[in-house]
Amino acid sequence: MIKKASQPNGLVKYTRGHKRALGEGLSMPWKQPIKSFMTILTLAICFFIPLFLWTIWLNYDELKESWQQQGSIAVFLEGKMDLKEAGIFMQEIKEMPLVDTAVLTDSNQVKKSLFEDAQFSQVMDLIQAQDFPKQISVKVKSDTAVELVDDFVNNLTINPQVEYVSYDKQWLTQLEAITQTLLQMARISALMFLLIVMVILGNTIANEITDHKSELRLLELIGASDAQTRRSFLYMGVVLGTIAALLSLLFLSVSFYWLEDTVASLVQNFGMNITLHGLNVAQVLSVLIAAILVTWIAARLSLSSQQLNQI
Amino acid sequence: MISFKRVSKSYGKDNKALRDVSFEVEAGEMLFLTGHSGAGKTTILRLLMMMQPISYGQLCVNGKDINTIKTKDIHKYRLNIGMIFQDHRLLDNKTVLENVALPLQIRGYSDSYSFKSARAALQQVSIGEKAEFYPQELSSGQQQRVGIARAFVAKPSLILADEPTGNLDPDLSLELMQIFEELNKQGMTIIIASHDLFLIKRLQKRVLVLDKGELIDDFNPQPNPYAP
Repeated sequence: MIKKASQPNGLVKYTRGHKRALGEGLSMPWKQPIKSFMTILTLAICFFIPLFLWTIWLNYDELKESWQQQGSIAVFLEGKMDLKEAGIFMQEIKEMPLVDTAVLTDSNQVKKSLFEDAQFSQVMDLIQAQDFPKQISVKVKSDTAVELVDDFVNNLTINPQVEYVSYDKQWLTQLEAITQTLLQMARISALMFLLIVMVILGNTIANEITDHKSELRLLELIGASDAQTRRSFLYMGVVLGTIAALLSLLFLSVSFYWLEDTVASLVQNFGMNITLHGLNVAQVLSVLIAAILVTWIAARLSLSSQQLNQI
Repeated sequence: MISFKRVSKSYGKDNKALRDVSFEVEAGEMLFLTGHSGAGKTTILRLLMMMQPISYGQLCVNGKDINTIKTKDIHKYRLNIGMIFQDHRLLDNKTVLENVALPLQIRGYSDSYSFKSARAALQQVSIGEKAEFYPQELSSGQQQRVGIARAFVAKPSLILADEPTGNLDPDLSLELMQIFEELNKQGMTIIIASHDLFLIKRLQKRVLVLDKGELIDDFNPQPNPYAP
């Protein structure tokens, strides 16, 4: 006769329950490997598309900074201003909240750079007798709205120390419009594909529940709670989601490998030196955590809709 | 321990499975529910298991009206009951030992304790040597023994058996009944739904007779002085 053990406390019961459910959740997909593989593949594609757009977005940020150089503001200073005064003025500009960088260039450097320019060098002989003003090249922070940049330029224009402000408003407006469009596209597609992930996982779990209906009913009758009957399905969902996330990261590496040469030659044609970057370790971990969360929520929602342990 | 007070159960408007049934069962008692098919035996067990709500009346178990138990707490109530089904309801993907250990694992006991207790329960129903087999490798009688072991392994206070000998020959049926008697001696309350009058007569326990949902008799058979 076995001596009856004392009733385990809540924490012990909870831990043992999760340990068993994890084991069952891990083993469930292998019972129907082809079906599970198809589900994982579909989930991986659903994860891949927003992931790809996000990574492109991260690369685009670098590209945008490079493009923004072309839209930087050139502040030409009054001719009487000496170099010390110009330096102080540059420092004032630099400390403004929307300014990212401000660089002072004296008249000789301006002249030299124009001589070095392939197009301008031809006309420089005609105008070299002219005095060139000192110049401050200002780059505003990349997330600054065009209206704020506009105000900033207007304030500079009316400043008595400034002779002229050159600023390509149209370029900045276009850049911001492109940025916003890309961002919205990425957000919408991410939302849509996450919705698809929820539907697919929900369907997979509903099928599993149908397959295990009699088993679940029995567990209910011998005293298993809703949480106990759900756990293994939750773990199964998370297992499928995690494998799918890993697969989508693999897809991302492969697609970036294929794109590398094409993108490199494209940006070279635009005179830029930008390489396509994949994700770093922190970003990969964020993707995995996000995938686990999404699949857990999807599995939880699906299981809530199943009437387990009801009279 | 159990008190049925004018309990009725209807399925739809005209289908009354139980009509105004009242009876009481003391703790540690063993009794039979008998009657023809559709008499209401299984309905009584289903109501006790809270698989269905009662339509009218009051059903108390251990002094508590089970109608007041919230849906989320039904599983706690069921932990005090061991159920035996006519169709055994064993999980085919688990071994006999794993099937019997399930109620203990659900209660949060360790695997080692659960398996040790499950082995002891299987020994008690004389099927210890089949512990590592899968249910489909066993005969119907052996499967029913496994079902019985699963029902009492966690030592519930109440065991409900729905036609446990339904598919078995008389000798095997009697053997199973002896197991129930043994469990009853250990203090468990046992309610068995059966239409096997021969068996009921042999065991000489309290009998509730149902007919078309009504309780028509409640008696204790007297021992036959001329029986061999």
